[in-house]
Amino acid sequence: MERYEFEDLISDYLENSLSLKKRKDFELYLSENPGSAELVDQMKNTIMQMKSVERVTTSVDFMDRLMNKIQVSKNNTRQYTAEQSAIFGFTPLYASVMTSLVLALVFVGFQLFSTDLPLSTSELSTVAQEKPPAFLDQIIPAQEPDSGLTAVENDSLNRDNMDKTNKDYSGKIRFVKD
Amino acid sequence: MTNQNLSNLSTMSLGNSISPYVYTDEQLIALFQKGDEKAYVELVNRYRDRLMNFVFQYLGDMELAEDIVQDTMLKLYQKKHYYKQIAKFSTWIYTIAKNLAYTELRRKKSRKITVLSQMNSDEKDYELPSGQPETGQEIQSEFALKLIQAAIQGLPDRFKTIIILRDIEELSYEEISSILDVPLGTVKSRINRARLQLQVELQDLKQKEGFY
Repeated sequence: MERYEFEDLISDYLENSLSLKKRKDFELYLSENPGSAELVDQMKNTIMQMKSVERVTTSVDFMDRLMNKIQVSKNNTRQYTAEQSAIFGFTPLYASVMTSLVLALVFVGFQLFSTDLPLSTSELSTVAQEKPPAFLDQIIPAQEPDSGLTAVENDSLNRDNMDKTNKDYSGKIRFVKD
Repeated sequence: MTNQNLSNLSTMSLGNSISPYVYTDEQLIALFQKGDEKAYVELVNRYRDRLMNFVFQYLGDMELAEDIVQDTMLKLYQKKHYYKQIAKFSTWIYTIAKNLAYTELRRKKSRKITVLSQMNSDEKDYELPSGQPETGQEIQSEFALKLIQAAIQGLPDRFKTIIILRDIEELSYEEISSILDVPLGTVKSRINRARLQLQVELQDLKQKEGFY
């Protein structure tokens, strides 16, 4: 057994978790190297002493301080969520109710006081039938209705006809024997 | 946890006359997650001293250690829903404490760099126990313990944590593996190396103290 192997196995030896063969090798190494046995003893003593290290405990007011901290954190969270959810100082529910009321008031006011704009559907259809103003004729030239569309349709019809007439399958069909 | 255990859990309450000691940590945290604050108090009482000892051994400062334990318990309160039943509660709470202690130690080290230049080189991190007169043997063993504590403080962080968890807190290899999030084999080899390093540190300290 080499020195590094011996060092790797000290803890396992002290905790009694070595296999029988390894334990024998380890003990053989110990008997051959007295310095190594001393190291094992020292480590064993240190482990024993560490187990008897005086345990420290928390102070008497630990729980009170903790409860205060929890209370403070709770208050902070409440304040934060309240600040987060407030819209101009209102809760979301109040804010939405207020907004709906304001919108309703505006709409009603508009209905009552606006007389210039057409309100009924019959009035709207009358507006649609009115002739556009003369200056628009100068800006937009007069155009035949759907002339472009008709041209495209004619073109596509001709192409179909052309395809039908041009198709020649003579010599392309053959009979295959089974 | 089986379905039967879960159904038992839902009927339990710490408000009854049943002793809280019948509950496991995992049952208590489950109760707390459902809103039972008495379960939280019981968990705090179970772990406050264990964590205090662990953090104190790690930082070497009582006041700081208590603050860390308080923060750990506060985190437990605030982040209770982060705990999942797949892990042991003890490893979860130790992990929180360890992480907070790591952060504090790093902060402490960065502060120490500026203070070190002003320190007298003769100052020591540990003192002989004072108070009532003791027998020679008691003083010797007490002194040996102080030396060990000082030697632990001199270890690198990865060795320090592992040796405290194993040899002082006496946790199992599996628990340490979960807390440190390292494989079991690494835990075993690291504990062995930490113990060897501790011996070296102890020899150094003894030489400085004139034992040899």
